[in-house]
Amino acid sequence: MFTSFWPIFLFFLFLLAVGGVFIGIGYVWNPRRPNPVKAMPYESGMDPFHDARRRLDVRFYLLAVAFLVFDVEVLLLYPWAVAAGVGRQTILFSSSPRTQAAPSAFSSTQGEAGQRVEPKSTSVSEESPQPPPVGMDGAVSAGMIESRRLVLAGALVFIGLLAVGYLYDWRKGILRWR
Amino acid sequence: MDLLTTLEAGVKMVILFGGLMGAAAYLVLVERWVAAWIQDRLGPNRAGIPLTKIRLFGLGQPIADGGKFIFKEEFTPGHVEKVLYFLAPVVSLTAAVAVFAVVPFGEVEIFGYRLRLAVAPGVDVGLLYLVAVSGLGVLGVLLGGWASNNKYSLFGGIRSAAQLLSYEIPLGLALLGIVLAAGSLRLEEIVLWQAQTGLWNIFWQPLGFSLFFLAAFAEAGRLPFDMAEAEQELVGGYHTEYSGMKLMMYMVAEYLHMILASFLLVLVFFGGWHFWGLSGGEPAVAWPTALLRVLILLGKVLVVIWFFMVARWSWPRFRFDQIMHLAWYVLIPIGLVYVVGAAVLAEYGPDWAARLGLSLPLFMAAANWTIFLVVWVAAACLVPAHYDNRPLRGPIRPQAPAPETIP
Repeated sequence: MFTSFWPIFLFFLFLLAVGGVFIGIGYVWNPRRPNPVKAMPYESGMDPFHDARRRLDVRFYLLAVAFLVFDVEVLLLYPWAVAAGVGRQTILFSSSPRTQAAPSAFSSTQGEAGQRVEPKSTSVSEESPQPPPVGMDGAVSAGMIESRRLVLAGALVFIGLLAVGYLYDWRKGILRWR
Repeated sequence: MDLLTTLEAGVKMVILFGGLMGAAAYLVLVERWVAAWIQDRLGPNRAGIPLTKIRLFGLGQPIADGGKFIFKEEFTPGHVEKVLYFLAPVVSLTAAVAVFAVVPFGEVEIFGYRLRLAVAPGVDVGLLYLVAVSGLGVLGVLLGGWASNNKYSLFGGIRSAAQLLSYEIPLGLALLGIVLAAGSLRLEEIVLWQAQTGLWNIFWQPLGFSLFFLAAFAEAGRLPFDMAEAEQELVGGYHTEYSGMKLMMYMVAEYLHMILASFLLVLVFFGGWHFWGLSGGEPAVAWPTALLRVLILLGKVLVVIWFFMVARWSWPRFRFDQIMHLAWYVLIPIGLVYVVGAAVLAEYGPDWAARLGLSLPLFMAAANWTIFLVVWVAAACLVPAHYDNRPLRGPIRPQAPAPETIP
């Protein structure tokens, strides 16, 4: 299951190595003629009057907190979106003739990378069994949840709470930058 | 995790990395040409083959620039935090390139072997990975700005971080609507779905498209939104104190953000490698069609990049407060409305379409366009004018009550 992340792990290693090589090239391969003016922070030619470790506007901090709340809550909506949408692409736009091929195509892309391609069976004419419902439809048909609409109501309540938090932030004035 | 997968991934990632670096280098040249064309002057057209008189329309310019980056003095000022100062560009570049691991270029069938043209083709949470890792780019910017110990760098980094954070929320909300409709987080399937219906998402998701477009534009940090390095205000922003290869890594990372935004726009909203009548809807095809698909994809990406470049030379930079207001007062509420609308339509759309006697695509498109227009007009009417340039009268919070009690 997690093997599909192996290339990503390798990619990260590769990129960190490349970054290290770039830094190394910069370190070894060029002249170095320091002088005291170069060593100053560049602030448009003015002599800097203190370093940059000063206090910052607190709104940046509040913004980060607000971002954290909103972003995490948006992330929590993703599993719901996938579960609600999976298997229903064929219901959406069912009038398009090309979606006839969709179920087999989608299920065949689920396999591991580099698999052998199974011999093409042009099974448009012959009766192919209906694939079992997946995602939220599957959960409904298995009796795990009552109905899709109940879940939708739950999601809407969640988004409503998000909106309440948003209005609170607005009223508190932390979104205000002028 | 076997040897074959590892080898395949290794070859793909070297090709991808090389391609991206080359693309970034040459797109800089293209951008300078576009700038020259817009400003009615000659762009870079001198650099060609060295030691000859051959100019090649300036095609040697990126190579000369690269050489300059390598051989220039790379000065490390004495006042920086050494470790973070060296780490920050690496983080930035890694995050910017690693995102492309899940970007699919299609699928090709060679000798009965199905080769997927993506570094990590089997990842089920592609979009989520993409949003997460592109969020890591903030770290590089912030670290670089802070480690430089320079007030311009610090403000560049902080402002850029605030901007990137703010626009990540509308970005996530816009993608949420698409995920609801497509039922998958895999970019391959989103593209395949558009290819099979022949109806690109932009045609029936205008609100999601505009949200995503604005947010992606801001995430790329291109000119109307380039808080990170507003030259007239902050010198170079977070890379004021960087030079040589480290500066190059930041530049490339920035360019890759734009390329990524273009790729995402094309894959999610413009049908990816699909074009009517040219590429079919099958997942895997023989190599001529696969090549055609890659060319179509890259062509679309180039068009979007060209738009980014023209936009850069067409609009003045927004002010920081305008950018923040656009994100928090406009895009996030619209995003919430959009997600609610998408969820309700995905659930009740078929029923309503049947009741009205319309075909489903027609109904969905009409409903979404209606939502789009209503929301846009409402936002234009309701939201306080953030293009107001008058100074704010009075204290920051005019009707602030007596001392705040924050528990």
